[in-house]
Amino acid sequence: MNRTVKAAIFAGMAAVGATSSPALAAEMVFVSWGGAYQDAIRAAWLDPFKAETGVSVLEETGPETAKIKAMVETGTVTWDVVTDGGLGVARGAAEGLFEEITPEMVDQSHVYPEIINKHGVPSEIFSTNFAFSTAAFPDGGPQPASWADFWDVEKFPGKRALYGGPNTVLEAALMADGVAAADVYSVLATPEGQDRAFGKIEALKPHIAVWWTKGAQPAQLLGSGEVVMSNGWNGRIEAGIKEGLPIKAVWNGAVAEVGYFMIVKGAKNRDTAIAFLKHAVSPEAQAEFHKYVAYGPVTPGAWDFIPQEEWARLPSSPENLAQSLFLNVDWWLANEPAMIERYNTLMQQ
Amino acid sequence: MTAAAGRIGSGGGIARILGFVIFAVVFAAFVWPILTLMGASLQGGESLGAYTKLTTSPNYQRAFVNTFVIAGLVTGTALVAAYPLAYLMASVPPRTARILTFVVLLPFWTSALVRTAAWMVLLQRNGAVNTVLTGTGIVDEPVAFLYNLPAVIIGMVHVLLPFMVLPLYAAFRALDGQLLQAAEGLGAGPATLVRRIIVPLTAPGAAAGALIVFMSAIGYYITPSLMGGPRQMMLAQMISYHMQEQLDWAMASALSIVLLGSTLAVFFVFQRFYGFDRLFASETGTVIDPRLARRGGGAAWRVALVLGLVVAIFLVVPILVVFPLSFASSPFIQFPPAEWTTRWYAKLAADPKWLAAFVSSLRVAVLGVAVAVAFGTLAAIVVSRLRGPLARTLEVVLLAPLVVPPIIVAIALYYTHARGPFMGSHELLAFGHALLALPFVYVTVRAGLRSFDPNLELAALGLGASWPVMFRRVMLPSILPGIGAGAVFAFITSFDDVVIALFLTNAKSRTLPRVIYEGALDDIDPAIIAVAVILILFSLAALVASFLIRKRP
Amino acid sequence: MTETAPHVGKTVELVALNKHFGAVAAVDGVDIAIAAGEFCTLLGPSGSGKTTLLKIIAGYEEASSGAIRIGGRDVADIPVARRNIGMVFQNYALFPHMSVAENVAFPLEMRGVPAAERARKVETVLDLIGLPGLGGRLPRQLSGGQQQRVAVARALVFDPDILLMDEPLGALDKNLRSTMQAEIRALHRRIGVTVVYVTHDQEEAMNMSDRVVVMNHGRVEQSGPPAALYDRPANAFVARFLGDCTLLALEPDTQAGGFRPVLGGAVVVPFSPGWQPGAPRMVAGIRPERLRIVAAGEGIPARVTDVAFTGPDYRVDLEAGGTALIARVPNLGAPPARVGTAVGVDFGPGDLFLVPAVS
Repeated sequence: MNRTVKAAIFAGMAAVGATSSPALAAEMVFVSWGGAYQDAIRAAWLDPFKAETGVSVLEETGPETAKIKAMVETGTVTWDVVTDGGLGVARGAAEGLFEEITPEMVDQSHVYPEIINKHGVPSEIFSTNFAFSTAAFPDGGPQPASWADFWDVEKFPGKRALYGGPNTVLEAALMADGVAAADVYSVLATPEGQDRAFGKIEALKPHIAVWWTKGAQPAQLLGSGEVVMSNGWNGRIEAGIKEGLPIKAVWNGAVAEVGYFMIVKGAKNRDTAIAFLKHAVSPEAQAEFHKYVAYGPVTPGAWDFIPQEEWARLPSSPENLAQSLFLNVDWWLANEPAMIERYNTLMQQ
Repeated sequence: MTAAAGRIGSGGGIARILGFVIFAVVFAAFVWPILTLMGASLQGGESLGAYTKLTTSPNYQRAFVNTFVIAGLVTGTALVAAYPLAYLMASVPPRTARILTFVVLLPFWTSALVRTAAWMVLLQRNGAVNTVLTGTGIVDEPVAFLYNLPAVIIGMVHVLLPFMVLPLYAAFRALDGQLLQAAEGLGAGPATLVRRIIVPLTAPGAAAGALIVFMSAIGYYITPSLMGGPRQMMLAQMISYHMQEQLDWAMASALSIVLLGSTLAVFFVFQRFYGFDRLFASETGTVIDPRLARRGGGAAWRVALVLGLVVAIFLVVPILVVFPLSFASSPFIQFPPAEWTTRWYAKLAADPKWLAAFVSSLRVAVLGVAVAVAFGTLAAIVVSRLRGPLARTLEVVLLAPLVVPPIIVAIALYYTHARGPFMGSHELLAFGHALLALPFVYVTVRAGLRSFDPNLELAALGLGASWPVMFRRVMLPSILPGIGAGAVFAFITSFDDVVIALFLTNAKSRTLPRVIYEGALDDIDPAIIAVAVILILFSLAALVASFLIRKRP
Repeated sequence: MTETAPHVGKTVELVALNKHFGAVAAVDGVDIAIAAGEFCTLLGPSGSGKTTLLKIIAGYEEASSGAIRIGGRDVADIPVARRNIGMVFQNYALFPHMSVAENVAFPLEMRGVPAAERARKVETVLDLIGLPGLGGRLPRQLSGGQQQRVAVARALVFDPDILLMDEPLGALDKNLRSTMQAEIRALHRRIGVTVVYVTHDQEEAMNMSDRVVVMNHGRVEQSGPPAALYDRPANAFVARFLGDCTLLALEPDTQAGGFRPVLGGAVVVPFSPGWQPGAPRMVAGIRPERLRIVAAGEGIPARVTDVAFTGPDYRVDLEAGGTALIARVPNLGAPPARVGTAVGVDFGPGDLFLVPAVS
């Protein structure tokens, strides 16, 4: 009864409204994290791909694992390519949300071998570093240069913003507390180490004005004067600097991650998606990306196309990589839910 | 045939059958998905696991307390702010009253999302408010207005204040000016006048407004998530978080039960003391004689004037401020802007997603309005012909979508239709919007039918008209204003909805509010300010048009 | 009615009619036969079932049992729209969004009358009711009396067999009401339609009708020409409802062969044929205008308790032997008595009517 009534209602409604526009020959739905990052993907990769192939690309933002899972579980997959960091890939892969990428599909022989992932094609290398407001700490005066300075509210007074999730923040807290970058994960593996990280964040909490959740926020908050320091994704911070906001990035203690493009299992436009991944990972395309956002290439070959003076802005340049720590995907995959729970409690209290 | 005619007249067979059909449809479309969702709270690894978590984790208890504290503060603030403005509206000459009504209605007609975005811009650390405060030396340091409790209160009060002002204004309008005269003649001073006469007589209006504001506030989602921080996490946000970030159905469902239970409890308490009818009390009575009000008030009236104007400015400023802002050059919103540009309008024009979303919104709204108007009108006519328990049950069921927080409607529809063929379609979204809009259409048409003389129907039938001819020629023209008002409400409901669109649309079918929301949340994209300007102009045009139409005899 | 020849209405017969709303009997065993062309008024207090009865005749309500025959034909299966009945509602029920002409033309339109003929008929009928040239107005632009006339015009324009009128003058002020009463009477004489008229105003009922049906609690109390009802009411309810009256207790006087008022006096009302001791007790009613005030010492001794001036006459309240009496004395230039004075009252046997005592 209930079903027939519903069906009747929908049939009526469908008759009232025009039916959906007919599917185009080739289209692809691309979902990423918005802002300067997605603008750059569009300019560097999507637009040339569209021009080359005639494919029409629909964009959306916010490819959270839960949303992908809901689509896959309910068989209503409307996304084709989604993007996330290594942790997101691992999380989704564990749930069986992503197509496996074989060499036959996308040739990745030219990519840094250590970042190759069965379920995603590396797209860029990005960092979570921090930035400060030069309006608050002008050139010539003392300026923060490490996580320890980020935590030092005596020397650098003012409100801070921190990411509203634990990953990269626990690492930063330990480094601020004097743990060497190389030892961060061995300390974090112990309960005492976790307490130490959370204790350090707890201590800074009175000075945290905003727990940011979206990538565009840190530059916005720094630019608007809401906070004097914030951690953030380096490309997003760079975008603010480019727009003339009075902010400066600090690379010391940056936590680097690899960004990946994945194909959602059951994607309707799988072939188009594969063609796009092939396009994006080519050294030529890789070398384009930095022009639009300060993220580094995933192929050594790309450096040949990038002018030397640009290297300092990019997380995967040898100099910046030396100051950075790579996010330990395995540790996070195992510990993320508990860390999130504890972090939420800390934020909400 | 005589039997049929007789039954139409006396509310027998056909009306009863239609009554049961309407009940069945609303039950299947609205009540059943919610019940199904409630059932989901028992799923998951261990049954009752969600409830164990609910009762043991302090985060949930905090969200529960937050929800009530914030809703209470918002209601209290709105009440205090609405009184002087409503009094002012009722006591100024008609032309000024019209301008003030316009001021109250303008935000009412402007997307809640747009208003919230405007507040974010105004309140940020180097935003307009802080610029004024530090510039005039009132404070030394910029005040942190954003991402904290005051921000959430300010944003929510602004969105919900019209719901408080309008019933209060109606109550003031219904206040017999002679009563004030009489009280004055009997020796009451201004303070006594307010305390002994005005407050008791406007209390029902205030209670009605407070109920609407409190119930809406309990289910609030967009404003706290944009303007608050983790410490202002409310139940509705928690539900959304568990849905969108955790995909934890059991938890989202358990929280929905808590939220729905709270809302219903508030509703029934109100119902017990005042009755639901009061919510829809029509605007009758005379305007308070302005001279009388002024003479009777004296100092009190001057205070009301100042406070009322402050509240009016509070209502309008965020809407006005987006105009200059839309021409600011920096993508990182600043006020006052350093340089001027039209690049955001150019960006709108260049990016097809905005036009596509606008077209989607229009399509969904037209479809949703059509369904809500047709079904709501039918339901109102049928209920008007029924007496007894069936009529009362139908009334409750038809008004229920007004009481149930939209987030629950959204996830209930999502939950029941996730695997269905309609997921992501404009039809399903329009259907959701029609559910939300149904009470508005029902209430306005019902009011129209109350003032429709049943003898007109009998006369037309007696003069030889069939029922359909009677409906078209006699009843429809009489209730058309009610249907029109319902349709306008339905349109606004649909055109302004983010919550349901977030769950039921996808990249292809997403609507304008959803794109704006994503813009505000993911990008802080200044293009949304340009969209806001266009939408405000759109509302303004609609509002002016409605004023012009109403002015004609 | 557009023809000059009178349109002869049809008979209306209600046979053992009942209408129940749940447990409540709104119409309870009603039998009425109305002759063709008769002006019949249903009179009763509110809630007496008269409007329900009207709606049953019109077809808006369905009788629970019993039969309705119009022109000898059972109309139970004929829908409202095809009974060819005109109805005037208490509040006129003019369609507010249609002009006067459109209102009046509506029934013709429903009957498929061509536009030209419609216009002609509307014009004729507006002339007939004395509203020529007002066809373009909206109902709300008319006075109450004008609206009433339009409602009548709309109910008559399609030559109905029967005209039903539900308290049609209730909303008008007293002067306008009597003017309209005269107009409706004249109209009825002219067109000869059968009229069933509902009112709770006994004066209106009496001065308009050929026949009055007095109703109470869904039942017919009495039916007949107005004078018969007024002078010879069948029971105390009818007696009181049709006008002021005083009820006097009686005692049988078998020697005199009739009843004597307990109050005293020489009057004997003869027993009705077949009267037996132990039959239901009867009381005598007397209308105020039949009670004569005489000098103290004559007739039955009484005392004046109040005198009220009404214009054409004086209403005098009296008290005699513990019974309150009402007299009505024509205004001949001076009050007939002063409050507090002792007077006598007198009446003849023909001034009294007998009704069963209400226990």
